Amino acid sequence: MKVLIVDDSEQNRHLLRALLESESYQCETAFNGPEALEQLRHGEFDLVITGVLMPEMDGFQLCYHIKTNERFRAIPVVFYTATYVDSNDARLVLSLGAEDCILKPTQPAEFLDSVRQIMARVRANGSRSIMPLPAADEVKYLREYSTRLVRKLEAKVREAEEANRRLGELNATLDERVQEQTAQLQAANRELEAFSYSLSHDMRAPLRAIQSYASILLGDLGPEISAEGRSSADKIISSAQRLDRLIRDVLALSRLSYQTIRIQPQNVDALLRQILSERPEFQEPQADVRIKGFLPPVFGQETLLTQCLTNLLGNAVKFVNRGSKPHVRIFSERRDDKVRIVVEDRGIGIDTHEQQRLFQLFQQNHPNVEYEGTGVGLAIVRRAVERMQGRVGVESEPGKGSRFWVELKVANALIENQPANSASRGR
Amino acid sequence: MKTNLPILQVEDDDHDVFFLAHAFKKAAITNPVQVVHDGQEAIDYLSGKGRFSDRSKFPLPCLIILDLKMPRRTGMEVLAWLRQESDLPPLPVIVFSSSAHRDDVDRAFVLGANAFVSKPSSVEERIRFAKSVKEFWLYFNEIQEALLHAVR
Repeated sequence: MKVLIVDDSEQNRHLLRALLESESYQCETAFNGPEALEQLRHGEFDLVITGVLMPEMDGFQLCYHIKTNERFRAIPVVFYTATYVDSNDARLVLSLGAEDCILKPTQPAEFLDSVRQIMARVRANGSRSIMPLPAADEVKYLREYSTRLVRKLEAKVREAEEANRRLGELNATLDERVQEQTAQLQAANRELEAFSYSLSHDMRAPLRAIQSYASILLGDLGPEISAEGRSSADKIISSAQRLDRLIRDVLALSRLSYQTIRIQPQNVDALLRQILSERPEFQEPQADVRIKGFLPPVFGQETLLTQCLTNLLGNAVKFVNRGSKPHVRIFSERRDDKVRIVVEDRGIGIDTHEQQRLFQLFQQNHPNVEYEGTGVGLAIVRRAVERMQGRVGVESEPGKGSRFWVELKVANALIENQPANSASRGR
Repeated sequence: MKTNLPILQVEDDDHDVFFLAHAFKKAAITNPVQVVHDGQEAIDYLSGKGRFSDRSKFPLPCLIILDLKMPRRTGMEVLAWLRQESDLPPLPVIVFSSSAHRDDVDRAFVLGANAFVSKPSSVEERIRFAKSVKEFWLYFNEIQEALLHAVR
């Protein structure tokens, strides 16, 4: 048995076809009235199942055309339509010569049952035909027909409006919810910031007092106290300084996590040269630190980038054999759209096992006083690089040196404050 | 140029009182330092109320060194009172604070501070500060003379 499925929704066509084919009906589909008529003209069909609202020619018109056509009028027509069908719809459908109206949605089994019953009835009694219309009734009929259609369209519009309204409501509450959560997050951030701020003050003030008293003790009474006493005072001062650095570093690390940052092209070459020029520990005669070539601009944030570079350089000049002068080279490697900034030293190096946890908080690999640090520096580097959407890593061999690298996205945009070229200089 | 009017230090932290006294001694500042421990006491001193009513014992200072974070009345409140409510001559005020928060700095100047200094954290820095106070505010600055006349 061959069925023509007429519906403007591809999904509906697909569903009906799958359903009917599972019961060994042969199926063809059409997306509106004209196409259905075209199909009917070229094939033999035992049943037409059609929707009502379709572009160009609706289901009622299609049925009318079938039932008034000599060749097609014997083919039974079944409407498959949504729930807003009232008894007047059903009457109109029957008057058009359709067999029946199956309401959407139905269970697949029910739908197939209905189709089977309809076909059995058609086989027994022949298909229904259009009611011959007395000429006088035609106007009345057309009016009713248009009323039916208008009502269906109105219902469709109401449905669409209702769906729209619900969508709008959802959108509005979504907006509210997002705003509420953002406000909560911002409040939490402010709280954290205030906490960090008071922590830095309340913890560092007594520390500074400790340092001050100890240095007043040394300065004013130094000659009167024993060597042992002086050394104890020195230890008080250096311990307090260390704790002060630690608090400062932990604060810097926590600030890194909640601070909002804007990622912009950075002139890393100029930034690095500035860092080197500001710090004697990166200059001759204390250290041999050089930049090889030009470092291209990268996407980042100035403060974070400064923290990264300062920490990496600080490590590079710190971890050297006692008495030897730090030898550090900085250069860049281009990797697709990324730039790797490499800080290479000839220091004491790090063994493979230690490299794994190097970037974690409080992982100091040199408990030796000589290489004392806070254990926070590389954690700061990693956090900062991650916030700039980059990567950080290390290659190292004990006794030979280390290569720390930071990989960031290259910025091709023009950077301000480029060094002036020779043509414009000295005029 | 030199008179011996007192310096009024408004400071609630005893350590900071000690440190400034130490630095002033190192800088050989000879002006007496009167210390009050909160903003209300500062206002009482300046207006000569209560235990500060004897002006010969508690003369008007030639310089006020004013902390901001204090109990009862803050340094900002003292500044506002001094410049807007009191009938006192325009005594020079150095705001001496442990934080140089942008907002605080701006507000202090708007309220009439003459300088804003972050409390130095090391002994050496504190002595440098004391020496520059001595040089500028106690020596080159003519305010002491002007004040002596205003007070009389």
